[in-house]
Amino acid sequence: MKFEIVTPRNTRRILVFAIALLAGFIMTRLQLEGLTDAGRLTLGIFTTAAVLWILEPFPLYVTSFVIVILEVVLLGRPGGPLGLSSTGYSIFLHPFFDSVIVLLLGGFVMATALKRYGLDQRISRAILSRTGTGPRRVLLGMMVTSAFLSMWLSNTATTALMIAVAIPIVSAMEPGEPFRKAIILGIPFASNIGGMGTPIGTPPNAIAIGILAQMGLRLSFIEWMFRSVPIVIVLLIVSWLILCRMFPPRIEHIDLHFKDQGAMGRKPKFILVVFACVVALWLTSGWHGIPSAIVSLMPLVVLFGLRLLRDDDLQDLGWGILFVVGGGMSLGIAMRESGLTEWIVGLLPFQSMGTLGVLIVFAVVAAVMTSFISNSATANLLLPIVVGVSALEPTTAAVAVAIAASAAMVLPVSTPPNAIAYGSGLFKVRDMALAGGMITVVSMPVIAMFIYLFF
Amino acid sequence: MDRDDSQGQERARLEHCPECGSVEMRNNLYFCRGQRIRVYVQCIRCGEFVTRYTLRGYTSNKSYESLLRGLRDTRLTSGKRMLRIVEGFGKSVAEEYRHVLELVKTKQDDRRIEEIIEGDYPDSLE
Repeated sequence: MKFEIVTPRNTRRILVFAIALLAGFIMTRLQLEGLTDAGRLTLGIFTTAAVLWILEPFPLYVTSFVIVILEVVLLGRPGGPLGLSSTGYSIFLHPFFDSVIVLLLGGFVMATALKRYGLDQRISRAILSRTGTGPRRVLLGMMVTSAFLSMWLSNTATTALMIAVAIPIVSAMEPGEPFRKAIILGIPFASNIGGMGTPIGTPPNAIAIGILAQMGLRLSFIEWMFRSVPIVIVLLIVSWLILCRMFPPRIEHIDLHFKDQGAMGRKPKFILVVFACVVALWLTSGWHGIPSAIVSLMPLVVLFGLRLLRDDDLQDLGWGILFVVGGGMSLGIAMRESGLTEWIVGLLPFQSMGTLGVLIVFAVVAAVMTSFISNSATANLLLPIVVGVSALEPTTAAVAVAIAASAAMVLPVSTPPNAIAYGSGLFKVRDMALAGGMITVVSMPVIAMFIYLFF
Repeated sequence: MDRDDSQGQERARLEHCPECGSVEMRNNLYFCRGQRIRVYVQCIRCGEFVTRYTLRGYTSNKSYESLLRGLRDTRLTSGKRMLRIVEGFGKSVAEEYRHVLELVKTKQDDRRIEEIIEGDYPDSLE
């Protein structure tokens, strides 16, 4: 049997990979003042990772494994530049089963169960049925529902669900009705914003918590929500106002008709109880002392143990994202251990800017980066640096950058939710760029100010 | 759809009734919440059970709506990759459909379907 492995597409992948390795190699050869050998090698790894995460010749999680291989080969050998023992290289592997990975895993399990038993649809309809019929209220209802669901489900899954709900609604409107765009754009924007709300909402949040934990700084589930939920609420209101202003409705009423889903069965009810218990335990981990990551294992045991989820659900859990998060944290360890973080931070002229100025700069850099590359990649590349800036308290810096990394609304490529909405064909890139650009621009000072004033 | 990796290996096969050899089939879908959907294929001519497929993905002729359903349990962090999926989805399904119809005419695999699956796709066996 003939296997053609080196196809034209694979040739391009190999070429980009070679460019990334070459770029990394060149960085290791530069004579940079104040940087140790380990630091130079780590700069090479960082450069290779950045090129791969930006150009995406292959899935992002593959880059995570490239990082680990390079870390172990270049830094982790016994007697290597970091002076590790023969088993010391495992510091680069530990992040792949870090507590924050387990926390995300539990979130993925719960999300899968909610979807499997149709509870995501029931929750969305329960909220939407209370919005009334005014177009602006319906839009607000759609956005609140999207934001709430994306705090617990993936932003992608939430957008797919809510766009499917919205399509019949906008299809019933006149083709020239401007408010159609408001509804279709409001869903991905709200999903992106809602993802900021919980540690499991989107990978940058988990990456931030993981990198802080490596520094011995714990940020609990509820502490994250105390910081993020007020920002989510403000950004939702701002986005809603912008969309209502840019695409004012001509229609006066929108009728929301949903098919009757019938009474809820015993299994879905049980899933809801499990979900409520897990969320309650996540939020109260400071009181009962059980770490959130361990709470995350409980639904896994209950739902798979009672066969409410199947073995193939376990295979479909989103391991790729967990590996992306693990790779970013592993890179963070190398950057800190090698002194690269300290060296990069020393180059940045932050001393004269003040805390608010530094926060705004990082928020803007994160938003610009994440408009073009994945928000997880943005967080992986920026967070190890920002937590080392002495002008900022690490927790403040990490939360600000993680949240800003989810604030990209400008282009269809900025986030998966934007891409899904664009696929509807109901708006042009220009519409998203104008509305999303305004939201992104407003988001930066809002995020920086909130975090500066209240934390 | 990425057909680059399968050049020279593509085949297609029409389902035949093991009893009467007819190619006219009726799909009977079985739904039970919490389980994968199963398709029981029945021969229209003789009424015999032909085979059972377990559904892992579903694409209707309204491809965007199908995509949305499929994405409800997707976790993806790359906007670029998602855009490629979204832009390529409807086109690739329609293209593949036409391609398969052509293959059935020109490159039909003569083996029985269970022989093809047992030989080349053992992961698909239940």
